[in-house]
Amino acid sequence: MKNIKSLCAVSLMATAMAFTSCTDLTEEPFHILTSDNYFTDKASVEATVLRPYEHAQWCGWDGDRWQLQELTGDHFVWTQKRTPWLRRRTMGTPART
Amino acid sequence: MASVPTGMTNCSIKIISGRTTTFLFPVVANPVFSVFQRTTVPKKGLDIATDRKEYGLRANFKQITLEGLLEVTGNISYRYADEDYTDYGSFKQAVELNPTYSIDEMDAFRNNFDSYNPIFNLTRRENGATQEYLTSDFNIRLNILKNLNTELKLGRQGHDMKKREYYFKDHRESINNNRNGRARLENQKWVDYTLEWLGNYSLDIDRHHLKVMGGYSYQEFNWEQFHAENMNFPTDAFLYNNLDAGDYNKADGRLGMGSDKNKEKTIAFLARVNYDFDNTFLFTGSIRYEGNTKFGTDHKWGGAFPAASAAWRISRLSFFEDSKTVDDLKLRFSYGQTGRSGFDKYISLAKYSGYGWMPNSEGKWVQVYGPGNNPNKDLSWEKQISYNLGIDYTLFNSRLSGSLDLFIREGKDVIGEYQVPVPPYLHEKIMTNVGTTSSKGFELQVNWDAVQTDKFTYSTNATLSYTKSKLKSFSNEKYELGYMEGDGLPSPGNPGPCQRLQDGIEIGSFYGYRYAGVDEDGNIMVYKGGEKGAETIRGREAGEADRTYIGNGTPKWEMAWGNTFTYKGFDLSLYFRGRFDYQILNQYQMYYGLQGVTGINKLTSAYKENAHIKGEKIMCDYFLENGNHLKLDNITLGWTPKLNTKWISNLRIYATMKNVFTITKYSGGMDPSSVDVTGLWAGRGSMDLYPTARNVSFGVQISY
Repeated sequence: MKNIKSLCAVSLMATAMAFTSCTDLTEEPFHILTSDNYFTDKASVEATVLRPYEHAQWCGWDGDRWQLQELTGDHFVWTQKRTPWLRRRTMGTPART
Repeated sequence: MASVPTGMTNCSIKIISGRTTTFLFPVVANPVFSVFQRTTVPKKGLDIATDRKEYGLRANFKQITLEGLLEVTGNISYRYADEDYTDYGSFKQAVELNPTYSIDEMDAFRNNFDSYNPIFNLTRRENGATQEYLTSDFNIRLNILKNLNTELKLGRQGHDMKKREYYFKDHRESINNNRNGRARLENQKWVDYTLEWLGNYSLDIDRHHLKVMGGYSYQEFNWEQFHAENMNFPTDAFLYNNLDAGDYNKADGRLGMGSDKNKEKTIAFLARVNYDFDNTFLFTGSIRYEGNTKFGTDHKWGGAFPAASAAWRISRLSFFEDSKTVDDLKLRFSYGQTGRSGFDKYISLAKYSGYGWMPNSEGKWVQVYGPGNNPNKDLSWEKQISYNLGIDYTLFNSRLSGSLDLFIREGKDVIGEYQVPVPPYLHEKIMTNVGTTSSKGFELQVNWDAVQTDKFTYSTNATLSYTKSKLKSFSNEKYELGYMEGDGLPSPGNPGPCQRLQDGIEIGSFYGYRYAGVDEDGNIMVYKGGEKGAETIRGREAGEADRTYIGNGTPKWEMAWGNTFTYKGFDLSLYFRGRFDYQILNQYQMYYGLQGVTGINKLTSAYKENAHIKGEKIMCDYFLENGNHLKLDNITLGWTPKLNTKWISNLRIYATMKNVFTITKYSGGMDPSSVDVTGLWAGRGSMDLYPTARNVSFGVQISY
């Protein structure tokens, strides 16, 4: 009786598992990084933390990355006027838009 | 160039023949003909680089066992193709170049990136691929009752491609880049798996006939790619067979390799019911609950897509019982919704991409990673909804038959790439469901056996269709876009975009200036505000406000017309097709047919039809031409002599000519029938030139 019960349980579980894999539509990434498979170690976290500073550098920021901590308010802004190419940096003065 | 006609023979070899078990192994003679037969598809010799050799094999088996309770069938087919590819750029060069160059001219092209020797471009390189296709399927069917069965279908489709390229030391790219050859190998592999489990039930009571089908379907599509490349080889002798002999990628910072892989799944639960009463009232209803991996997290299952159709065979009415005119008359109506998922994978996900380099906490330079796209969790199924009202008719002892269909098709939640504001979005574009398209029209089909005598017969069939498609809306609550412009026309000149999609406007519409003649210097003048008869201004000085809708590249009318004549043992068939009521942007005249074009060989029209234009090209309706055309696509003459032999049951000798002639006023470089008139940007005459061939083939068909 016990055997039959456990057999039933096992076969029920197997059916359920087979059924879920038959309806599983999770997109599997191979060649790309997603928010699910990206953060795996210290290096990946650091590389993301550094991204805004690297981006800022493109817009003219060339100071130490910790210097931003010392600024209050909108001392460093990246404004966009009319075309995306007209970008300006304001340092030490209130932001102009 | 002769095609290989095939006599189909089914050699059924009975291997076991017991009381209940038979094992059949039919051998189809078709592949035996084509094994090691060098078929030339598409035609070898149309240009010096294109070639194709192909052979294939097919086998299938069927086993019925347990007194018909279990049926097992399977198919395996294998196809191998070795292909060599051309470079369409060479044909364009051949048209553009100064015709006085000798065919082995090389010096004139040194350090010239716009022009090159079109022949050496093809002969001083190798560019081809081997392709292997292996398809196998296996089906098990259990006949539980006479009217109840269940079947399981398993399938695998494999396709392997190995692409090979080598550019010799004296190929233009080697000379221009100052290196000794470039070799590249690439492997691509596609593997698709399918599983289908269906149950079928049927019931006949009196004059009621019922069929029910239900099941599950699973499809998986895998693709992967790998390539490696190297340059600067000591000799051309290795071709692509010794990649490590090149020294280019030995230098620091060079790579020369890459790989990629992706996967997609479609899963569906389906059900269908067929019912008919006395073959007079027919009804079909189906539902498909479908899901696909590519959509946003909560939208992978597209919901249930229903379809229903009803038909009434009017000819069963007592009124028609003794009719000599009407054989069969059926009125149909159908409604259906289908889901579409034909777009790129991984577009709904939030992805990370590599950007520039920054020193990390230890002062080591590392590549930084950040959000690479605008994710869209709400991305969901595109839906196609169609309504169809039709009538099928068979009249005059089946001598006249055909159908008439009226249709409305609507595309809902059409997926497209839309511009979004930054901020709040991190990136400028997002893939989302926004557009709604609609097309209406009709299709008429007629088959008529016009003449039927002992010696001579003539029968004809024609299909005529009318379609009008427009973009109903291009915005929703979240995304709003007034219009979308097509790709800009190419340099030199860069006349800007030529087509526009806008709410309520027909798909394929051309957008530009209205031509208003030329000024005394031969500059193109256009109407201010795009209104005919308004003030004229120089095309170059016209602005956005002067552009308007000037034409449409989607044909409204399409027709196909087949004719067959037979006289004694001879048969002749003619097949015409045509497209009407649309315009083609003649880029060929625009780029090669004006005097302002410099440095290349011009068309004679620059000094004839277009002689008055001496200035720059302007995207205006002057370059739109009527695309109407009628083409004799195929003409075949055959002869079937009477033979008195037991070895051959039927023999037919025939000759076929394809692409016989085209009647059109279109003056472009290419046949108007080769211009793409489908999709959102229809009717842009391409500047790529590849000769359309007229081919003649002779053949013999033998059945035995």
